[in-house]
Amino acid sequence: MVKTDIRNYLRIRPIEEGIVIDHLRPGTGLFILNLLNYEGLRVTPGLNYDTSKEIDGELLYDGKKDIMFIEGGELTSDHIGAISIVSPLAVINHIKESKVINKIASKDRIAEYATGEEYSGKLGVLEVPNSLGNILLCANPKCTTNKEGGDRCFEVIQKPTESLDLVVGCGYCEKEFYGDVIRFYTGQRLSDVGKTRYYLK
Amino acid sequence: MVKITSKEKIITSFKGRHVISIRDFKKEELDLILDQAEILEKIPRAEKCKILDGYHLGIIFYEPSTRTKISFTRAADTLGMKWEGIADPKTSSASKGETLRDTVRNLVGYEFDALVIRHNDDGSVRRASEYSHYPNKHLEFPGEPIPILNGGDGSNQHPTQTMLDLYTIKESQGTMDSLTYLFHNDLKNGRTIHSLAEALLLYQPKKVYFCSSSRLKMPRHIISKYKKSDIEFEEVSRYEDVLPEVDILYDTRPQLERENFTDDLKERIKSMYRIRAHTIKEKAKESMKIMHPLPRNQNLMSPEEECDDLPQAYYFKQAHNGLFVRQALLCLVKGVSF
Ligand SMILES: [Zn+2]
Repeated sequence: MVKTDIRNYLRIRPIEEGIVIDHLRPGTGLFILNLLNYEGLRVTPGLNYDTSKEIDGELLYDGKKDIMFIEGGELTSDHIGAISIVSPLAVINHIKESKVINKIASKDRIAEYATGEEYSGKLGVLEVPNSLGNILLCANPKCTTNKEGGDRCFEVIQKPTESLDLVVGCGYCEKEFYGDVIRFYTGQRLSDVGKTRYYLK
Repeated sequence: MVKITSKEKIITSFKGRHVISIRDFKKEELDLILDQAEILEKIPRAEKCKILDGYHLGIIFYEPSTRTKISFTRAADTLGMKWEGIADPKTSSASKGETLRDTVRNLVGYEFDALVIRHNDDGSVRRASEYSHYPNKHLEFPGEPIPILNGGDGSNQHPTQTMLDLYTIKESQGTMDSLTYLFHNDLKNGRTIHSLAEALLLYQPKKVYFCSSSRLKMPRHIISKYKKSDIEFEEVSRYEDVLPEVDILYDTRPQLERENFTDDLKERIKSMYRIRAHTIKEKAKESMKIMHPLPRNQNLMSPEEECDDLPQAYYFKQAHNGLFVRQALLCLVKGVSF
């Protein structure tokens, strides 16, 4: 007889060991979920959560966000790279024994955490890395990585800014790609998540 | 204590090195290759053929290229190096679905001293170079990885071509710096032109002109590299106007078969972007050199045969220079220098 564990129906259990990716730009949650799901990580997505902002001691509604709860998993540097590209204002929390021990976030947020009193753990900057690995696919059909497979590597030639698109160069065929041509190993295109509106200053 | 000069350091770093992409080389390293090629050009044949006596070169060409192949086999022969052309991979293992990296893994066991690979897939030779060590890391490591030389990987790189172009410029003008360059005709489809234009970023040209039809312009990624550099450059549409300033005119064959143009447009491009002997005679410096990666097209393509007798015609010497550059590379990757 199949027994149903009622706890599976509860909303979200607090994570004891794992990662919470908070403040994901709404719409990027499913995209990130796909990337993580590909590797069999145990993920609970939270989409379109309300965010609030404290202004003059009052909590005010401040739009929507997506959240990912990952139980017992680790993110690779490629995952973090992908998050930095699609949602540069996300906050990645490492949780151990129910406590946040490490936060990776944008420079501005890091500055807030560093001066604030709420958090005293480790801090790391979330920024687009100088290179990416297997997380991307080469857009050149004649590239050896598409013909014969094998590991991939990409140099980040241009980090995205308000006016400039991300440009990556394949370490094998040396072709450069930007904008909509950039594709992740799940088959998702960067353009699937739209242009990120919250660029860093 | 013996002081190690920077030149000696570079020479040591060449031993066992792969030659995959011109981008992997610093200016000092390119200069060393050119210096070695210059020395080798002057060594008498009888002496030269002892330099790599006892060494073996494997040549794997998945894509036919008679000129590149003969240039490598002659470079080996003239250095006294034995070579073996590995039978057309199309008819052997590759047709059974063997990957290039497995082919290389197999060949490294046969005591070759270097391999030259030409393959249709972009980036394939870099991948192959990752497998040029002994196949299983758990077994005892028998020595250095076998150096792999790229004889052309699809539309990507043909580094020895770029090196021979640089050698030709240096040989004819004495330097790569303070010269005015004109890249002419199909700037969109030629990997030779792209690699040379990128390599020149390591030097200090006086000015670089890119002359082409608006449909066959230099790709954006190269233009943006020039924009970021200090080098003065300009995109022009007629070579006649700037010709008097030019020291190196690098012409190419328009690869119109790759383009979806009307026949009318193809004809217009062919006739407009054709180097004419009388224009060269009228406007070019005597010291200017016309270079071309060859083959040139028989019909109307430039440079025409009428240019062959001009003092500026240099493309056949350019092709011959490939021999010395490839000799230099074979020596350097085996740790031999002069
Ligand atoms: Zn590629």
